[in-house]
Amino acid sequence: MRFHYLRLQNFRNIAFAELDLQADRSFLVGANGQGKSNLLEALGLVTALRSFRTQSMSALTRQGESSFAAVYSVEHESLGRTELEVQSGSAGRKVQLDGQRVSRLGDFIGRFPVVPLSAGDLMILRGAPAERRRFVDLTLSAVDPVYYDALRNYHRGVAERNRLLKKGGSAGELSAFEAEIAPYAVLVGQHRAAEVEVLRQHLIKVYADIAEAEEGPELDFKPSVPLGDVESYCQLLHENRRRDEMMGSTQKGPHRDDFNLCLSIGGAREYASDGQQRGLCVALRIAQARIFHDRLGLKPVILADDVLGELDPHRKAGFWKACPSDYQIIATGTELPQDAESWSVVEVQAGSFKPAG
Amino acid sequence: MTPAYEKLLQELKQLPGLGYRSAERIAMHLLVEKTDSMEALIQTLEQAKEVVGRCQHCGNMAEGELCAVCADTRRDNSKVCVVEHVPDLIAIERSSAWHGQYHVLHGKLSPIHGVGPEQLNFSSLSKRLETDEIQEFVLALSNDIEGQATCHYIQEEIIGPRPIKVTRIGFGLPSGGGVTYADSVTLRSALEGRRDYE
Repeated sequence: MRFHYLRLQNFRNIAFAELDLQADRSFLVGANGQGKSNLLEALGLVTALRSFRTQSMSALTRQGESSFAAVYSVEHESLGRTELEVQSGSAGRKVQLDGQRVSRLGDFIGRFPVVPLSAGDLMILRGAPAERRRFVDLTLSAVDPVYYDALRNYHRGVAERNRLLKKGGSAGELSAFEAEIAPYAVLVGQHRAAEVEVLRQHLIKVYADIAEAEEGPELDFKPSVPLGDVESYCQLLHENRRRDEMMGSTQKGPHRDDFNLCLSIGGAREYASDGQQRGLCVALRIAQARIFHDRLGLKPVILADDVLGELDPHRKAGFWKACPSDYQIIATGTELPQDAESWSVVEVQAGSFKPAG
Repeated sequence: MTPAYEKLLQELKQLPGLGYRSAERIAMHLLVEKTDSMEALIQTLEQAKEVVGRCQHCGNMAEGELCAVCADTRRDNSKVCVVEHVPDLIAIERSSAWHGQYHVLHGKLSPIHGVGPEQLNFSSLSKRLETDEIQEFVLALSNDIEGQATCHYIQEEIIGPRPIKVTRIGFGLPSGGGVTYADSVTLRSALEGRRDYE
């Protein structure tokens, strides 16, 4: 897919903006705090109605306003020229596809794949397991509605069980919810194991382009409970009841899974250099883009938020080698790239956007 | 506006499905535009409050001890369709597809919302298991984790080892609807619930 244009109203520091994005490569240039990343953030919403910078949708509305609106014109491989409208505010969220309201997020997620690269990606490596789960869950949810549905039901079931644990629910009630949680937990675990292996293979290939030497990148799935069948999962929940009751919540399960990223020298978080960590993050994102492309049959748009400028020349060259040349790329930076002539440049100042030249 | 109008507006807004605008429209209609309709409405509300209650047998709406369904001797008493709410029962009745009895739970298990077995109409269900000669339960509860857990609870904790057939209604494509327009989760339910073509 590719973006054609974007219209934004009351988004972050942008009161109103209209931007032509038809070029293969657009570069938004401007000083810090002018609104470059805000624009990329708005573009990033189309995959799963989530910001890649914050978990709070309310933070996206301009101060003093009650809601924001974003209208995207997209050239889509299967839908053709499509207009997508997202509104969000105190009255809730609303998504329209060519004027038709989309009522279920599950049917929308992954239809417009974009891959954001930002400095925040380092949190996937350095942050808590929840950051890594979020990355994997978004990747898998976008390509598989069954996974998305199972994950949603699993979390809902665990929340219900946790409430029972806190208030001291009866054994019958606990059994009822455990029996319904188990199949979803098993499904989530199986999908994660299988898809992380696919992600791992992509990561190894992409990282080989980006790294200076053979550094042996690895990505492992570390499930919180051993993968098994529904019955053994039910049994496990049953056995853990006493401890879970004492702790007041479900201690084990897919909501505690982790994913381990490492190089041959050891865990990436502890042993990789700053440059290696940045390289791994970029490789993870390109791997994500390849999964979107393979599984959805759609070319994702790459949104590079001030990232390319931070890579050393070798890794930057590696990025261009690994990133398919027919993906649309929209990038930002405080300075123009060296090959400025191959970009369509947009100058950004105080929330307004002006094509350069 | 006046304090009494504001108070009415606030009360109306508490009703399910009414936002500020709808509440304002109704308040205006009753107080300013069609004042004569007010008296009839008050009378009807009072009368309904007086006579409408819960059916002692199944939990449906009833005027008197038994609801119209339980009082109907032509219905098949050996089959009971379990639903969450009265509107679910009304919807199934409108379809004319069910000739058995009903049992209305008035909700589903949801600890998050403070709904446990005590809040649901389970005690009269247990009583029916002792007194009525029930051969089949059809569970017509919502297709979400709480609905599923409630089905599980009914099967394990209420019915137990009794030799009673328990079925769950199918979830699939709407009648007259094409496959193309169904959402992916519904399609999955429809495929999982497929049956032999006769």
